[in-house]
Amino acid sequence: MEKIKTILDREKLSSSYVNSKQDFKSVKESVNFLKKPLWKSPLFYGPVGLAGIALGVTIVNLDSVDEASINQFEEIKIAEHKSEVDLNNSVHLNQILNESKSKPEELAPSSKKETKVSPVINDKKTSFKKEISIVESNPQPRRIINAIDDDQYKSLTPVNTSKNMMPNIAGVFTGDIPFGKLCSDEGIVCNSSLKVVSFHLECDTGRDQYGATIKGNKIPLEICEDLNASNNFSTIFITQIRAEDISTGKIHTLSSMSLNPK
Amino acid sequence: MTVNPMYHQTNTRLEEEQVLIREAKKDPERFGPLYSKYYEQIFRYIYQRMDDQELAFDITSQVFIKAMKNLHKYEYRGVPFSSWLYRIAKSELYQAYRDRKARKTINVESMHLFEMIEEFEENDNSLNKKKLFQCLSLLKDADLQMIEMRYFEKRSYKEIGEILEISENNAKVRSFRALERLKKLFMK
Repeated sequence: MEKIKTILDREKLSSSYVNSKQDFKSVKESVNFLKKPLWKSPLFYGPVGLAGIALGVTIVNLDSVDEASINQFEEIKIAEHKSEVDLNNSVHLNQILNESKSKPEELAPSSKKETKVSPVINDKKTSFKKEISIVESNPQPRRIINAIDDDQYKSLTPVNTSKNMMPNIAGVFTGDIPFGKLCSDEGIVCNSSLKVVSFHLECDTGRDQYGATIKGNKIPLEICEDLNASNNFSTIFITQIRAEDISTGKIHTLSSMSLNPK
Repeated sequence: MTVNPMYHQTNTRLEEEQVLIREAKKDPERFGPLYSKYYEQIFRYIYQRMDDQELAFDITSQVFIKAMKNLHKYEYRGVPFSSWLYRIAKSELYQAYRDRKARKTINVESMHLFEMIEEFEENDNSLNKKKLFQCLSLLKDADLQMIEMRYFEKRSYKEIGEILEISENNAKVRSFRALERLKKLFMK
């Protein structure tokens, strides 16, 4: 415990002496010196708070815009990458077939090679198996078409106004389709808010087999001519149909189509 | 027992004081009259409880600086402005004790000791004076505070109550109990 000092009969200070020590000026100066700093005053928090809120809102908005554009960009990249992979694999397949044609004795091993690449080539396993069997029976090389035409891409306008997400050609999603409509200028459409930007096409014209990623929404004229000339209409598989949302710019993958031209 | 009449103010005086406070709130320059009025009282309150005169003056200045800074927080509750200043002074004083700047001190006048011994119904001799002197330093802070204010500074129960923010009756009871405890120590 702290010891308390005790003083008996200490000399009393006179009032005049005590009052002579008054110094209101220095007290005032000290008060002014110790005044609240600016950051503690409410006036500071108004503008700073508003600025903070504005900054926060801006950052949040920028983030959401960035996210949307990144998502869109990524989707386009994925679509492009898949197209490239398909194209490369088709080219690879073509090379293998060419080699096998020039060296008939090596046909069997080359077929094996094709089987190895199969998982990469095609997402639709069933259609791919069908392809392999055709390749083995027919030594004709597959023709690769990459109809990337910017003008065609730009000129695309969806015709169908319905809001469904089913792609179609002249209103046909799957099944029989008149040949004239298949190769019409309308191409693959979905609804008024979606514009088909690319798709993958697999078909056998009887003369050639096509496996191509096509930019745009129309079946290339070359294939149409082949189909018309051969008159051998087998099922056409249209897969990986990418459509761009006109309002948001988002890329959607639509359901695959299988059409039987007549 | 006589009490110090300085603290007591009439309603008119209290109202006049409120006018000064309102003016000081608007303009700190107008705090001057309040400073002059209470400077001595506050200084004596502080100096009573320490032995360093210069430090007592410093602490007194600190009290007024704080009062001016926090004047906007002051609310009139029917008690003199000085009770608010005393509370600031008490807080500043205890801060000085904590910072080891000042040492707790009891300043007693022989006259006060005599009055207390008389209250204990004992003989006023040097031995008893010395004994009482020792007993005071053994008291708890709260009890010593009550004894100082009531018996050495001659404050009324009303004033003690206002300074300590307790009722007048409570101040009466506490000071009585403090005296009882001092008596017990003295009679041992």
